[in-house]
Amino acid sequence: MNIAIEQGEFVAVIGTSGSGKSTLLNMLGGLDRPSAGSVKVDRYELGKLSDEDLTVFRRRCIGFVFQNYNLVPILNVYENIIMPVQLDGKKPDEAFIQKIVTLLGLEKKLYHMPNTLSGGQQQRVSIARALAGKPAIILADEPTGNLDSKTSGEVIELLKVTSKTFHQTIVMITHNPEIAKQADRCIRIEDGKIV
Amino acid sequence: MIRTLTNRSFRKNKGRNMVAVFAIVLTSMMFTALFTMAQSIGQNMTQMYLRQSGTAAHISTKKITDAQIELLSNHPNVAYYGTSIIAGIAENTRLAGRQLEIRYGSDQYAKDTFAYPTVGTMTEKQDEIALDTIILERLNIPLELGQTVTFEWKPDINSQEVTSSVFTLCGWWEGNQSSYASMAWVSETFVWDVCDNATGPKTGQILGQRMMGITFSDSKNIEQKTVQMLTDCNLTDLEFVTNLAYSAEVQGSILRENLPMYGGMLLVFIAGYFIIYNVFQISVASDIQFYGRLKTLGTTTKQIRKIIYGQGNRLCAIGIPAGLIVGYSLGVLLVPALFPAMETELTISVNPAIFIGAALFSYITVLSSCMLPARIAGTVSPIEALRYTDADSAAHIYRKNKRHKHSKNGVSLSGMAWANLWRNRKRTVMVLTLMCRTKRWKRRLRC
Repeated sequence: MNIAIEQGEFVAVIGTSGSGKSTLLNMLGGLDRPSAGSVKVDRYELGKLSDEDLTVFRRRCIGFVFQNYNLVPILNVYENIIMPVQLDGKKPDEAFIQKIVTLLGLEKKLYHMPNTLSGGQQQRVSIARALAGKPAIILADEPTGNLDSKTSGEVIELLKVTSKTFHQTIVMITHNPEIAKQADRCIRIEDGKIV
Repeated sequence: MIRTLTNRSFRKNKGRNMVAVFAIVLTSMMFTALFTMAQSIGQNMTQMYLRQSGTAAHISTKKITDAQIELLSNHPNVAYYGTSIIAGIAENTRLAGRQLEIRYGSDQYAKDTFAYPTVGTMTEKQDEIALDTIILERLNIPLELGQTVTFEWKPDINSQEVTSSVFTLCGWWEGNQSSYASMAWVSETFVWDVCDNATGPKTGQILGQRMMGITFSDSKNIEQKTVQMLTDCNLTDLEFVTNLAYSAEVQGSILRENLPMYGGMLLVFIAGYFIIYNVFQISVASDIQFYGRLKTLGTTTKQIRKIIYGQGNRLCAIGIPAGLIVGYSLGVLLVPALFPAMETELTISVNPAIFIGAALFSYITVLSSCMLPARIAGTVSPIEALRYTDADSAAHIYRKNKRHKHSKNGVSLSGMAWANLWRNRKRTVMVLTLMCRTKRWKRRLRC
């Protein structure tokens, strides 16, 4: 497949189960390497980066929202949110994090452990973590899958606002056509190919 | 963040921590015990040789003048020295078979010849004398300061004339049967008096003979230091004898006695490495998804390794001090077993090098054991980690060898247990090797 995504674009990726949506996202985020071809993100040719450089690239440039949340079970909510920022040796922007936490309704859960949260709450923490570092690219795998419609709407709105404010590029996998409509562009994938 | 992750991971793995700490305590305990024994063997064997040679001084001479003593004592090579002036040999009939040398000796000389009073003092007044318990027993004198002691002796060894001198006991020490003679320390004034203030012995006599023992700052290159000292003082004709206990041959024999200890340390390192490596390897394998998740979220290889080494450090902080204490106690108990026929008091070494060495060796063992698991955790592929189990290594082999198992016999508990053993072949082989080594050690210890 050949895809080009411009900076600041909000792209929705839709397709049936097993079509390769998550694989595409993983390759864009440097979690997986393509068997053939290349992946270029900004000025980085991901295939030429070492394991270590890919990890640092992921930490600084990508905000990942996973389908299975991928929260660190031994860190509380606040620590999970600021984790990528602190791993980079930077101080988190507390005002910005507070804004995200308020928007996602996590104020009362800030010092709770992930295993005490519901699926939806865990997903919100995952979104907050992805946004906290103000990365250039947000890769979201079904970010609103476990959220109610009101929160889903707020989250998409937040993603669009941060995208415009920080010139972030968003690539989002979704099954929800309504959410997909809110994106600037929609890509449909079937059997690893763009339809 | 790395410190938080290290602390939280550490606290989460209580079971692993207990096993690892136990292994580290054992390793550290064995290192400490072996170091204690090695050091104590060295010290006690050196003591044995020193007592056989009669002095602890590096070099000694039996014919020297006061002027020569003065010159040599000021040489920079000399750390400390002792001097003695002979009066004569005791002739009391009760002392037949045991030579007793009546002499003046400086404090250092008495200490060097293992004849320094442990009760009372060296002589201060002219009529005072200090003796060992062998002589006091032979003379039937109770071990009490202030007792009167009378000696018959010959100021002129070529004459039959015997002089009787009366002394007051001012100090005594435990005598050593294996030494060639006992010492009777009299005052310097007494000796000067009996030899009429002569600066040396008359020809063919021992009355007034000066002796000197010199100790350098360390026991390396004793002969070169002696030659340099005598050349600098223009006394190249003076003959000094090097203490055999410090000779290369004797030191070599002491080293050979310690070889089993060093061999033991190597075995402890290997066994400790395997045990602790296994603990960490199993821990990393069971937490591989956690490390993969950390990798996904931007934790670098170096940072993940830091987490694992950090946990190793915390385990060492608990296990090594405990092991040092238990190991030293074990060493103290075992050293007497190495010298069952020792006549003199055994020395148990308390050299800080024991604890530093044991702690260092133990820490290196733990660090080495963590290296491979840390590398595995650090280089885990984020995507692979989500799918990793122990069976993956077996699965890899399965794909490689294309083995197939068509069984129609159903499933049994023992069959499942057997199959489970070989899910991770490498680990099973390591554990079996370790068990065999442990059994072999137990057999050796019993012998």
